[in-house]
Amino acid sequence: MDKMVDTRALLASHIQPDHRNSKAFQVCRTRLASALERLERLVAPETASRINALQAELKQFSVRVSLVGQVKAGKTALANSLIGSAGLLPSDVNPWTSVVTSIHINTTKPKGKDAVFTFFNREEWTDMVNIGGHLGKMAIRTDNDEEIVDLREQIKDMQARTQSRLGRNFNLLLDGYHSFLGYTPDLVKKYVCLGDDEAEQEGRYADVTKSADLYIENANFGLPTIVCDTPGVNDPFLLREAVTLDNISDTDVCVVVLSAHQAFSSVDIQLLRILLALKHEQIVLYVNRIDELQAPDRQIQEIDAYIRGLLEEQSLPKDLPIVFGSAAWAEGSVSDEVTETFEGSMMALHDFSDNRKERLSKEAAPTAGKVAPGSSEFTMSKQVDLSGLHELKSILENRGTISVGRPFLERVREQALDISEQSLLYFDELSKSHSSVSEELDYDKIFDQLYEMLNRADDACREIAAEMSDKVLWVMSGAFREYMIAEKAKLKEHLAEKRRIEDWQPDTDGLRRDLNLAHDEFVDIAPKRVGKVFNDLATQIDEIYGMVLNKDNDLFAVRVPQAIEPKTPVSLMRTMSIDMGSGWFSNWFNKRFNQSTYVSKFDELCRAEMQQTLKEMKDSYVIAYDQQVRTTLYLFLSEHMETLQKLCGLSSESARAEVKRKLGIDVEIRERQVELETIIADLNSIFNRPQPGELTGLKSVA
Amino acid sequence: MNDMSSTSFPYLDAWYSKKPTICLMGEFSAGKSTLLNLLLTNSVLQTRVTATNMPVVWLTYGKTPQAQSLSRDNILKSVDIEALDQEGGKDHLLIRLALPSEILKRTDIIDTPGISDGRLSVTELAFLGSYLDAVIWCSPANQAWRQTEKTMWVSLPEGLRDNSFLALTRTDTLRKSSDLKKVVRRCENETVGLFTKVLPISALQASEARNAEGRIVDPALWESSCADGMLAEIDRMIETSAVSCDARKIVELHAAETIRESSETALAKSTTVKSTTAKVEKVSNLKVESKKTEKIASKANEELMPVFEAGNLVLELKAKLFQLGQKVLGKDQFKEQFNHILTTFMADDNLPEGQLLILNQALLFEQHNHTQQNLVVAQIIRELDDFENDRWHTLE
Repeated sequence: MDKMVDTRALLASHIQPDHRNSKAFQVCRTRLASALERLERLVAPETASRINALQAELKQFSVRVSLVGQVKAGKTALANSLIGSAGLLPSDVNPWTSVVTSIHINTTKPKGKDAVFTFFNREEWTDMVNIGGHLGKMAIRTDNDEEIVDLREQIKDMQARTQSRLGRNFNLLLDGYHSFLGYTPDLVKKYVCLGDDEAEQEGRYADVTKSADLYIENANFGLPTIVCDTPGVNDPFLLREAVTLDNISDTDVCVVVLSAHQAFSSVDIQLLRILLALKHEQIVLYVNRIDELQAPDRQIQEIDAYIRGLLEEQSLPKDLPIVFGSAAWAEGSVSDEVTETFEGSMMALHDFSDNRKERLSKEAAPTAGKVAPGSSEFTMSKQVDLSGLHELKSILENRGTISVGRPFLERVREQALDISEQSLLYFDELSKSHSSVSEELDYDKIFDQLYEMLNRADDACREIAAEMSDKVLWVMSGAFREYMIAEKAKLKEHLAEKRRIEDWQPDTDGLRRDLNLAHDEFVDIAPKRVGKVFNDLATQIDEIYGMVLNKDNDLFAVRVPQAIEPKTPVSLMRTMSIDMGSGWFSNWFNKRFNQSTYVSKFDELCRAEMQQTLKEMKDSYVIAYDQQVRTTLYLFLSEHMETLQKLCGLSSESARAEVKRKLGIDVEIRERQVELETIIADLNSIFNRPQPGELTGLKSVA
Repeated sequence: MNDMSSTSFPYLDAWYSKKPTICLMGEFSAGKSTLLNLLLTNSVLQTRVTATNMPVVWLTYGKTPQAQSLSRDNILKSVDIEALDQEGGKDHLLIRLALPSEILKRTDIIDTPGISDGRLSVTELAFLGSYLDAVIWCSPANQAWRQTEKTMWVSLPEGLRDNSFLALTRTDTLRKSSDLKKVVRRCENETVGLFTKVLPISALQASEARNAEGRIVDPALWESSCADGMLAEIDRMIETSAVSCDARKIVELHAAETIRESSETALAKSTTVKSTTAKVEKVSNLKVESKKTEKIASKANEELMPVFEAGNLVLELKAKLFQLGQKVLGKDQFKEQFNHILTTFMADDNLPEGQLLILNQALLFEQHNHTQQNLVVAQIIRELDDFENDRWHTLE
């Protein structure tokens, strides 16, 4: 029992749980919420719906953390430890997680539901069983027979299994969901784990389940957080990997879980590249399973140096936070009972701790000053929290607040300010004894003007999207062409020297770099040009306010909406079948084509790849971006039209009297004005007024 | 880009011809070196968690420990074992290490750097494929058999699958007693047809259970390491490999220097076989057996363009003869066309001389009774089929 107490001490948090940032975030959020609430009572009824939307957004905010990594890296055990309930998500010695499971911590939850399991819809299911989804298409394109056969086998097995588990009419489940009030690990098992022949109920619905959502409360989380446990990549069960890759595009922070005894293999590097290409800048590496190392204290140092060296060598960001730990220890530390697994690893924990103590006692005391969690120094000098759980948590919380929370709050505040200022303008106008809205103005003409502005801006945006898309597609196809010419020449030369096709490997790094560069340019330039259109529009609207109000509009500056960045297509990284290492041409080995056939096969493959990539780029991403930009534009303009319309409605005395009658007596209107002014002042000071919890950490990333 | 060609390894050809080779493969730090140290009963190779710096190591028997390095441009020179440990040997194609280990008297062992090492490209091991008799594929039990391993394994020669097994290493890292059985069962299901067996091993426990002399001092630990089962399987593996090794022609270094030369050896061989019938026979220092001959023949088939073209010529000839057989012709007309086809065929410069002899015998028109034209054509086509299926044997 004493030993157990010691053990818990070794795993306890070393840092005072540092919730300063998240507390500051919550304070800001509360102030924003109360400002919105006050605002809601003050504004004209037409504007209330906008405020309600903002309130909902504020209420639903959460940080999405995804755990990704290779099969059996220990993602599920880590997820259990993070949420503080050991054994909630089932894990096994074989790959077990089959569904992306999201645990919503301290978020709003659907009424009367603690657990929701959503099944595939009919279309997704058909797509999957017919050609194995994206993977199947890719395998067919590279005429990778072996993989197609594998996929077909796997799908056949899956269908047979599903039928035997759920009966012939299992497809009645598709399109639907199961939800529960309260749940147990056993219930979860039925939906999210692969299961095997031995356990009848485990994994009963797993094959038809697309996603699982569980809702919990946990006081240790400073921020509403969603922790997503994903099926591993590099699983011979190919379908699962596709599920994971689809999921990671909309996540805020990624934890890449590695296995200590095989840290950072080429698959991990590939995964990291995909994440980076998806513009995930918030990445944390968690090196799991240090409990299985022979001499953790020494080996951790080696692994740390190895990973950082490789990051640098591969031109990847080399200062990523790396946390070393053991999900087995972590899960043990959050559980009251001592499991077989935990007990087995306890000796390793004590040995590790003793070795570290011994080493540290010989070394000079670590230099004073704050060492950041996730750095090498921090890793090597800590004597508690040996599971790395608290270190990871604190990194996640800080990243979540600074890079997700703060920009989110800023966005909401901007909109709240916009509403407040427009309302204040309106009330100011209303409270004046004489309207400053000039009566001579032809209002219809103003609205015509506004519509025309909208159309012009809309055309401009459309043109930008078209131009940019032409350009990016042109550059991309150029990159493909150059790549094909160069690689075909190399392939010919290779074969001319009578060398084996096995020894040939196309150099796709350059191509990938070029494609990404082309896309980066799109990402860089498009928002700038769109931003300029928005800016011009705002200035013009400013002028119209001035004209309507018969003076320069010095009350407020029209707030320019944010120009959104285009999303990066997952396909830019993922459909790279010509980059599948040995996989794609290994199936050519046996066929022994002659030289020109190899070359034309390669050509064919590249062309298909190019068409697919360009088509996806154009169809999904450019069009989606265009729509997003134009939606923003319409919303922006229609709001101002509304305000202007209301202002114009105040031009005649009779209309003013009517509105006043509706809104209350003069005194009340004056009160509203005062209140609005305080709200605006409040909103403006949300981030800069020093809070008791101090906001230093909350530096803007904008 | 990999600029090694398959035909530039005379040293490997020579080494491979003399002893069975068993290869340890798997992802990096999959426990290959620990297993190797167990087999050798003395620790020679460093084991590390991060990918090691060593290239392929070809272990063979030698009374005194000795190391040589083979560079990528085929230069063999002595190196200091100690220095290798320090600097690593990534610049070399491989290291040849002679050690006085019992097991090495019976077989050579090749240790490979792990695939999926962030720094190593998969194809860097492809050159080894043709020098292996059997593979022990190591996969850590707690993260066993992933897609990258499968991709690599299926890209190696298919013939290896009949004499290779999957070793689930580091079973000591599994903490639940029931886990081992589960992993073994999954791997067995997922590797049907790819390996002969799936065998667990904790090389660490096994090493700890033995003392420095290799005697078992902790029987219980030895038992739980599952080492007995694995060692027995490796014995069986060596025996099987020895049979196919006996069938190999001994390649001397000078004779294997260039493609041309080895091709000529192969051709000369075929004539030898032809004249002596396919039985074991020792000619100078050549050990010859039909099975072995086939192996070399098929290898030559891949490597030698002239031979390959002869195959195409035979195909063409068959097509022409077939067309002729379909026609209704007078006897003289038939004979004339028939002779024309054969003469054109025989006159082709691309036809290697060795084959010409064999074919000539078979195709001599006078030998056949050509009263029935169709039958003559059918007969010759049948003989050509035989020739194609087994190009290096006499046409009976």
